[in-house]
Amino acid sequence: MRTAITAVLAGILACHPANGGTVPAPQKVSVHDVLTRPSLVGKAVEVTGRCLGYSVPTVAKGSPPVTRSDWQLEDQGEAVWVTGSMPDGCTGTTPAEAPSTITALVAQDTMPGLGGQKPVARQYLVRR
Amino acid sequence: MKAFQRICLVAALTTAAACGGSSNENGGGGGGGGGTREWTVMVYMAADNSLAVQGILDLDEMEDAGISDKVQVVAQAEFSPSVLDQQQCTAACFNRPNFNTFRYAITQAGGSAKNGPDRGTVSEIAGGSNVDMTNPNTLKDFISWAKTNYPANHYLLVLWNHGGGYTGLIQDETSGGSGLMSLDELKAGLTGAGPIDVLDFDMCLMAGYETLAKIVGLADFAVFSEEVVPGQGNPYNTIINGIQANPTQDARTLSGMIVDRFNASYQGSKASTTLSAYDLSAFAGFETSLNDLATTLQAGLPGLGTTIGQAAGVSQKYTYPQLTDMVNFLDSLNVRVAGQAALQTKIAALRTAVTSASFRINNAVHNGNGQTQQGQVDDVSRSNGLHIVLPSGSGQDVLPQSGSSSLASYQALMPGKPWTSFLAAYAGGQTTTAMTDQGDNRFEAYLVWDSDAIAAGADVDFWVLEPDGNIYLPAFGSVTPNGTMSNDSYNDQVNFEGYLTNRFVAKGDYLIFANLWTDPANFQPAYDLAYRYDQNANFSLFFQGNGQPNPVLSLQTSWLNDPTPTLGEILGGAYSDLQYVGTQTFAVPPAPFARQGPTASTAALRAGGRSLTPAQIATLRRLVTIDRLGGGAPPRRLAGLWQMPFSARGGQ
Repeated sequence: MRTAITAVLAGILACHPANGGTVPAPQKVSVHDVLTRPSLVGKAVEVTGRCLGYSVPTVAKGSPPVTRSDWQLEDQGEAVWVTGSMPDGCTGTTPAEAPSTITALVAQDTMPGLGGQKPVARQYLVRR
Repeated sequence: MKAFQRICLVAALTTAAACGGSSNENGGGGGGGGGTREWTVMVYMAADNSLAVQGILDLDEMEDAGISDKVQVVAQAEFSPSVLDQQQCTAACFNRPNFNTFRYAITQAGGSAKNGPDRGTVSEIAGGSNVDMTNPNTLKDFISWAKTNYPANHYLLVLWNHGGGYTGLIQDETSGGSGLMSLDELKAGLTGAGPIDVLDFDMCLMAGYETLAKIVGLADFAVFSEEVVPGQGNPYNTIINGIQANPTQDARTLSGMIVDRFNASYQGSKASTTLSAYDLSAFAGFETSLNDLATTLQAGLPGLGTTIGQAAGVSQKYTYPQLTDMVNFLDSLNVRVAGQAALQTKIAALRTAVTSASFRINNAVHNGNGQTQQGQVDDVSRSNGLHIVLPSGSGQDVLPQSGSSSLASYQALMPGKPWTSFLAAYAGGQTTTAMTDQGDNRFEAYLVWDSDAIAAGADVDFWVLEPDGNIYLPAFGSVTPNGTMSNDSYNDQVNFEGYLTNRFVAKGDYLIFANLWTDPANFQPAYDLAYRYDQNANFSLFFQGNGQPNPVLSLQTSWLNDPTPTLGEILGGAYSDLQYVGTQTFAVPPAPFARQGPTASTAALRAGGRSLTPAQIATLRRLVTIDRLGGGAPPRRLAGLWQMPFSARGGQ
């Protein structure tokens, strides 16, 4: 119950809209957009969410796509893996208290199937 | 009022200590190889976290290497239920009946037919459980088991998981929470485990001075990475093949071979990689040179501070920006201090020591072809094998004011080192918090309450209001700016929770509160505060020790029903579910650390100016309210009791 609250809290905190500018690029998208729109692959995007660190709680699907230090960016109960530096106030083991907005490149990989499952394509973010 | 039950702190501690117990059960058939077996490869695979899938695939790689009577590969592994659940996977996906920690010896030839262990002997630990892989005793037990059952002339220990440089390594979600094993705990786990010829960190960011300082004398050679490592980590099949092909190779050769094969496996890949190997027999000479330079740099402060910051800022950095390649920094600094002959002599001496072939065996870097959002590669080309904590002071490249990467944590990790002293003088200006040093004996406090409250479903929370004006509680995180929380009692189904302060803590008042989060059976638990200042001493009970009755919590007058709760009202006893317990004060300078116990006097506190802001009240109300509304879902970490013995944690 207590661990589940973290995810609930993450969703609530992530609801706060980021202060957006008017710069047209990179494209502003949501975590949900990144996860569900393969057409974004290769594009620079601006995404708002809360950094969850490595895996507590685990929201993003599959394993970290690039490095062992990849982290999750969560919004509205969904999370995308991000490879690269973490926002201020977040570490691999300590989630951020507030959402942040990052710019990153959308990339795609294939999650390996386990136990006979089929591999699945998924999008992730590259932030360097 | 309910009679105060026997508080089971002692029993709880006994249980907790027992949970980290040893297990030397026979691994099944591998023993007796001493004298003929050259190498035993011991893989400590802590994959109960985000890296579960990579762990399973790495086990398959080890199997694919085949077997040899000269080389035995064994592993202790566990995988995250929650991560695999995200892939609609059960334990069957890695060929196991459950998520218990298991030990595995690869004894059958042939490539892997299934994901997970299917080429040898598997045994569970201690009759079947999920152990805390961040517990030093767990690591020590694994090494002992491997050496007992698969003795060899040489041992390669691979630590497999997350690494965070000086902030720690190895995470175990189910049994250890989100926190990492500290480098001091790693040292404890290796101490007494016997010789380790090669210690390979298959994880991110561990190629640091701090790592070497903790394992010197415990391992002969170290292999590690300055930067983060790709998820795939080591190419186990080619590394094991490399050992099998030349089983009589010595530890130095093997260490260098790992670097070469790791580097070769990532040629042409997107990922940028670093890997290096060091001979710890030359560490003392290196550290002497480092100490000399640190002392000289510190003597040059504050005038030299800007120059040092500039040199650090242009040096090779890593995903944790405060980590700075040592050689690259020395070169950058050297050109900025032209004419300062004495300083340049120290720089040259250290550069010679850290790049000496007797110390640095091998170093390989590879820039990947993956693109960043700026269209660049992740450039690690100026990596020379070893980094050190040295922030430039610009942007994010500073030491945080709190947490495991803070200056205070560094001071606690590396006490008495000249580099630590220099770093405090150099980077201390970036933080403004006045700290005090408790030495080895740190303040530690736990709320303890009726053990029957667990069965009644009552949940009590430990709150601490630290000098920064924020309240911290175990239910919402494991680390505060000044201490480490226990696990949440509700998750672990125990009747205590609290925290152990860091060696270096912010000066000021630490106010402790007891909060009753839920009490469905109206149990109304009584409680006390167990505390101590010496991690080898017994706990004292604050209320019972002072001849006072144990206070009782109830939901009768809840602070949540007060639209405008104040600290004064809490201190004054206005609420039955949120009660002030006492205060630990770490004295304001120049007074030494005052070992006064928590005091029940609230008048001084009101006058002391410590206060909760309306925003903090609102945040706490929201968190707790959400928590209470969230009922029904089972706690995720049902796997067990807290497995960190207080004395072990406290002694680090």
